[in-house]
Amino acid sequence: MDLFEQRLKSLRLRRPTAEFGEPATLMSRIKSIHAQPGLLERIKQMSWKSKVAAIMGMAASVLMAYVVLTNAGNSVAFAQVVEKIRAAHTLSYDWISKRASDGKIVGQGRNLYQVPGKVRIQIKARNGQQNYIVLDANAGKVLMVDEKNKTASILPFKKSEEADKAVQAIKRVQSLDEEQGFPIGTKKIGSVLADGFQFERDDQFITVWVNSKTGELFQVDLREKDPAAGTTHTWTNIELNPVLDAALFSIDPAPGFKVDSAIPLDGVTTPAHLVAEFLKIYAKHMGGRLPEKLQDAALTLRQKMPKPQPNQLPSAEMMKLPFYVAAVASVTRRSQGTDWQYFANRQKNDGNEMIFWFNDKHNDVYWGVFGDFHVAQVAPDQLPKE
Amino acid sequence: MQISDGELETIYSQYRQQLFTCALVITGSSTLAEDAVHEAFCKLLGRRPESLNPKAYVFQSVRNAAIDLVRRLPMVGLAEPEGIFDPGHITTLEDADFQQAVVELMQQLSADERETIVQHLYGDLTFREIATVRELPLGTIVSWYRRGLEKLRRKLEVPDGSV
Repeated sequence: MDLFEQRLKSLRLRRPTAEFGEPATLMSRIKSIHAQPGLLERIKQMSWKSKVAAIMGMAASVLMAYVVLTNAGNSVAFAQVVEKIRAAHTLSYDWISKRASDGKIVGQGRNLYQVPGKVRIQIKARNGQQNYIVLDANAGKVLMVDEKNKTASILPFKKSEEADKAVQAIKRVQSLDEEQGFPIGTKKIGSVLADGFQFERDDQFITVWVNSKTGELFQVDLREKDPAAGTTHTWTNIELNPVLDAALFSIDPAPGFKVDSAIPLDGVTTPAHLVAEFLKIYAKHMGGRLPEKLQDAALTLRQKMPKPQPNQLPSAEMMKLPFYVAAVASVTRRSQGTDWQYFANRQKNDGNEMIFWFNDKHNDVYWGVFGDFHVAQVAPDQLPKE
Repeated sequence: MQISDGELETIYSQYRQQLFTCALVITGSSTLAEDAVHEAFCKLLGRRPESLNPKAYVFQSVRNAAIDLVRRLPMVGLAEPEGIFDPGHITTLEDADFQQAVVELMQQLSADERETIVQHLYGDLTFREIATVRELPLGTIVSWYRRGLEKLRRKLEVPDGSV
């Protein structure tokens, strides 16, 4: 063995648990393997089943929220997500998200829920600064606060009657039951011994760690099946039904904060208004150009937008973007030409040139977005000919 | 030659770290590595298997159990695979840099090269024992080891031979 091999060999190895290697441990382990009940039996013995269902439903909604925040290409209707949080009255937990490709932290914070319909997502930086988002489904408003710059944005949103992917995903997770869980053994997380159960969704593995002693939920890990696909998420310090101060869910910005009111809160707000805001951001980041196709615009913009950096708080624009993307997705799911139209060839910075229209069937009116991004109600005969 | 339960217990205690490390390089999880070792022993004890090299036979059983576990549980929900080195035991900055470089470079090796290096350097298995464990010609094992080591050496060793 040469010097180099000796140097390699001198590296300290990760050690097994202290009991590992003791003959008594081996005997006890062998006994437990022989006496181990079947999968179904083992899971049925767990008392946390209902809690898992509860937290997983909520966890999925947070995942959706965070994924949307960091990946503008996703289409999640936040109102529907919030609306579906029904499993517990309050919930809170810490979360940390890492890039799957290199394990770097892309975000961390704490989320709080209060049913019905209130969510607070706190995003923390290492220096203690934090931005946060409060969604109130009942008030139909979202508050986004940038504490460093003392700015706040408030957006209106409506509950959609359409089912979307987010809701379907939550339903899938909420329906997780003992037949779908797979025990993956026990491990020590810090000083706590925890039993792990793995659940599989279409695109993710979800691992629920349960305190072996108390049966309480201890940690939840989410990982995409394709490790290069995105981010991994871990939830810890999970509290079900904690007492949460109502002020945490206030959608009124604190005194002294400058409020951005790009979209009128008290006036009429339609998907056209949100599409206009999306197109404005798109043009800003794409050198003034507008998208060729509205359906692909979020993906194109996502590729152009700067990637979230570790410990960097999302900008006010980044916090708003998911809501605009959700609106675009909601619009483009409808029938093009009947319910909406986008004119890729009319991309002139002209306040008289209509670049998009939307048919608000509920009120039987048309809304147009113009080249300077202003939104106005238009008559059917004003719609540009194809 | 039959392997008695007593011999198996001795191997379990004597090679606890080596068995664990060799299983860990396959599973990427401490928990699964320990499980793999225990599952292997569970199958071996009481059976009095026959082998001329009990140590190699046990390492082979543990390796098979680890591979089987990974196949059954392709993802175990851990955020990052656990490496074989102890990340919490760094005494100097130089050691930290060296260990980090080794960790990164090991990931660039082929799975066969990586496992062979781990089996030889950290599993205390001779090349012949590794060939038995892997059921492969001795030349293949030696070649994997040399090739993998050279790749590490090229990146980590300075011209005067020091590291």
